[in-house]
Amino acid sequence: MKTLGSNPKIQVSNGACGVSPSLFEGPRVEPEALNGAGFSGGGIAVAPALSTVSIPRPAEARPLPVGRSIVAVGGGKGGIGKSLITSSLGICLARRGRRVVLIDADLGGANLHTALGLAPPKLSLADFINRRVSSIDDVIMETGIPNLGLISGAHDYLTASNLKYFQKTRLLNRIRDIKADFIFLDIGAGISFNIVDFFLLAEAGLLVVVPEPSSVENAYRFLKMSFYRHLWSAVRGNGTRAVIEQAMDEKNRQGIRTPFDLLEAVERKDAEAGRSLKARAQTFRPRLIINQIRYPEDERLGPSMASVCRKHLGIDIDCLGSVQYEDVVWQAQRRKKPFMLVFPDSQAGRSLERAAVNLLRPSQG
Amino acid sequence: MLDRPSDQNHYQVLEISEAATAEEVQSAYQRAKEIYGSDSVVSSSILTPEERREILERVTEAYHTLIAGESRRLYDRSLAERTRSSGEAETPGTESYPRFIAGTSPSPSPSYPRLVEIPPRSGETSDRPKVTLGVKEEASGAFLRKAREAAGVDLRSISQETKIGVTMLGYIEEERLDRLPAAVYLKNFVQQYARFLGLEDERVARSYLARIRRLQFQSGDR
Repeated sequence: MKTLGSNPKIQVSNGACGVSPSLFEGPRVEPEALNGAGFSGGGIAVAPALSTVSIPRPAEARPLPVGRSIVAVGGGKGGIGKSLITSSLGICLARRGRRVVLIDADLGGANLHTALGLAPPKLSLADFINRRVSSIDDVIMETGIPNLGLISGAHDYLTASNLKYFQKTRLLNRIRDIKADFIFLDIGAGISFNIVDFFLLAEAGLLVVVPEPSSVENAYRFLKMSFYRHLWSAVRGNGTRAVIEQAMDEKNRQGIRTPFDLLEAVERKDAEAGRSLKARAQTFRPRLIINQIRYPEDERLGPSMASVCRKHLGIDIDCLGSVQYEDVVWQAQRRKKPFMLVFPDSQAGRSLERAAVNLLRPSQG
Repeated sequence: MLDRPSDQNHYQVLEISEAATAEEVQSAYQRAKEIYGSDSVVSSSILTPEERREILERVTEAYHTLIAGESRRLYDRSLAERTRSSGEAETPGTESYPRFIAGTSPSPSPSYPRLVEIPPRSGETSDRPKVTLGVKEEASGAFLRKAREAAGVDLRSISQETKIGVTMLGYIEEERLDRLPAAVYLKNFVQQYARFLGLEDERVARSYLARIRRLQFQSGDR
């Protein structure tokens, strides 16, 4: 048994924290222990049915790949559960003994700490950017969940600034220095270059979508913009860059509506540049997770979007799975508890668990 | 990266392997109809109603071709021929191609001619065509004829240069749905025709094929 943080009430069986943790052996957490240090909202009773919670063993089991990864979680739209997805995936991996750090890079509405049931932290990413602390490690706060750290949002700084590309790259380099197996960046809503660049600078870009027309539409726009930006950042020639910039304007007069049109337009101007761009296009492979599904047919949304992206945008995406819309998600938020700790056996909890496993798999194809 | 949608073969359109069973063809068809249906959330925000309609036509064409054993066999042969013909420049005839839509096609001759590699534009025509395809314009047979006449060339001249039979060139201009060859051939022919006239061959061929597909669909000849 292992003590969780400084709270002696939190008892964790150490199935996942050893040297070679089994993929599906999650630690057990006594829920009453969650009302203590490190968690806000103390005093709120946990439902009796949750007296003991544990992570179930999903059907498929594969070994985890070794190495550190940065995962950027975006979606192009607000209110679709990015923070829930980010915190839950982080918790799933941390409970398997991986060191995970979550970073709230939501430029407009940092609330990852809330999804983890924490009070607003004293230090944030802004303190590092503003050099009030010397190292990025100084702004990592422990969440009380073993192996899980958090860097809180820096919206007060980042919304007021327009970080240049090299500044973002430098920030990401510092983020890369963090000693962790997985780093999750919650990049917030929107399709501004700031957000898209964070999405692209990570090893894995994860897009959250809910089964609503506005969310699906924003996701496609986000994907197209990210894809064009991905191509643009690899190009040196001004001519080709100009064509890509025209493509980013959806109402461009050149008739470039899809990446196919773009590649064709570039190839017409410069065959060599066209070939390079096609090669670059192959390296764009975001992932997708569908949140808040309500009906059985919603489960097909992810694969269907992947199909449309492949055929009409020429973009391959991997769908990690779908997460059910459930009242327990709201209950956990209302109680200011991390959802994956209090309701891991719910349908949504199991789906998130599977999504975490899928995330660890290498991209298909 | 896949070919653009208009250039995808029937298997790519339905997202199935060439070894797919009839059940898989059926199920892929249902799925595609769901994705591109009028009330689909998945495609309505990225494709215009017109684009979705065109895709559904292609999906339907692919389904009808692949679900029936005979038409699928013919289609597979034409695909194989296309693969083999890559880089070769042999002259196709005019009467021995599998039909554009294979579902109700007449029996073709035992062996199909190979497609020719599109030659560079001939010096016989002006570099700048007198007629060009507008941004929103569709490449119809009438458009091709108009472009040809504006360039002052007859079908025989195009035939001599491209080695496509005069009769077939006439079918293309007349949009003879009952005589046009399978899409793989037709695209190649129209590209050559357009290139001879100094038109944007890829775009013209794509637009022409989309039009023919739509006409086929509307005529119920599947």
